Amino acid sequence: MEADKNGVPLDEAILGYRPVISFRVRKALGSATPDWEDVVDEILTQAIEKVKTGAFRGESSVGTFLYTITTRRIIDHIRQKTKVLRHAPEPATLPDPHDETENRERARQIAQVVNSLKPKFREVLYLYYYKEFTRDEVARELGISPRRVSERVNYAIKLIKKSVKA
Amino acid sequence: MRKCRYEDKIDEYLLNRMEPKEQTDFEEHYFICRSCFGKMSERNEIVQVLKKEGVLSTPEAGKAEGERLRSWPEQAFGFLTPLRLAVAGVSVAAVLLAAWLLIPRGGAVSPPLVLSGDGTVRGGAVAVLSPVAEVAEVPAFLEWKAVGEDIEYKVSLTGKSPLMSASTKETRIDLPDEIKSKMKPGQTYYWQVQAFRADGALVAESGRVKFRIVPKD
Repeated sequence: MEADKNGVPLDEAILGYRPVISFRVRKALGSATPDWEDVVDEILTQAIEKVKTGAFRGESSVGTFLYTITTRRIIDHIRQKTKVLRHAPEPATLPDPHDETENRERARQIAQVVNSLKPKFREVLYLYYYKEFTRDEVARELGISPRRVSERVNYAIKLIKKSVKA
Repeated sequence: MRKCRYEDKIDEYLLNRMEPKEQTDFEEHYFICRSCFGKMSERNEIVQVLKKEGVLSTPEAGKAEGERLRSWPEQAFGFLTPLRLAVAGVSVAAVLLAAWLLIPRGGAVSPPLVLSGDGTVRGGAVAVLSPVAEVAEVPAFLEWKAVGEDIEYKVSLTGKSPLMSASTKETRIDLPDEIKSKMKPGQTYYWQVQAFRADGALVAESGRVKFRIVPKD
């Protein structure tokens, strides 16, 4: 079995990319799509298959190799989905209580921290993320420089991260 | 560590402001750069909360649109109109009443799942033993810990579609050959156990447990 540049067996290295592939697939297909996990599994299975058959020996970066497979699989999936008859029912999906509980708790913590921020930080976050103003638009709205907008956004995010991790 | 040049583009990507080519480059980059992916994941979690209704979209945040902000007491309590106070009071009373009614009956609430050090998924009610996470081959049975005496367990197994639903008084159920033949390496499956008293009341459940059959070499 070939290994990556760090000497890790390729199949092991590939499985380590699950979070990255999951993020990409969920962004493309939407987290609410019940198929996203299966698509991720298919991508990993295909990648490991290519390693086993020698189609990929680690000549290029594992990341680039997986990015290519992921992108193609997403496109294929979207094409397949658009061919499905509109009236065909989607399979029922059971929500995973563990994931939902954990994610909800973290989201609640983040929301709590956001609510405790000083107004000057909440206002930039509101305009920049919720209203999706550009940095320059936020600056004009608040009468501050674009650089100051960036500083406040970055500082607010830093505060949120620090408080949630604590 | 030197800052990656893509790091400043994280917000643009998460807010879908990139041109297609730039987006492709960035996506390929985070497949290669663990640091950027880590930072982006972290930022994405926060951004998703910030974009939710009710987190920033409050009267205080609305004031940011050109108006001078109110003093902090006004900001803290200004949203409490008489109607909202009344609704809040009724809601609190309803919650307290519901809790008082529930406590004597000991109504079971689905517990959060915790993965313990030995790999057992504990639901706080029905502790699932096997299979969990990843398994080398199609499992021969599903097994869990007993929650009491004279309990009937209802077990369901699902893949891309429901595979099996069965009841037993034991703490293990063998998978029929016809079910096992449908289960393939590389696929992910889910199962759940519910525990019922003799009178039919649900007393505990495990939550939905995921396992994957590792692809064969």
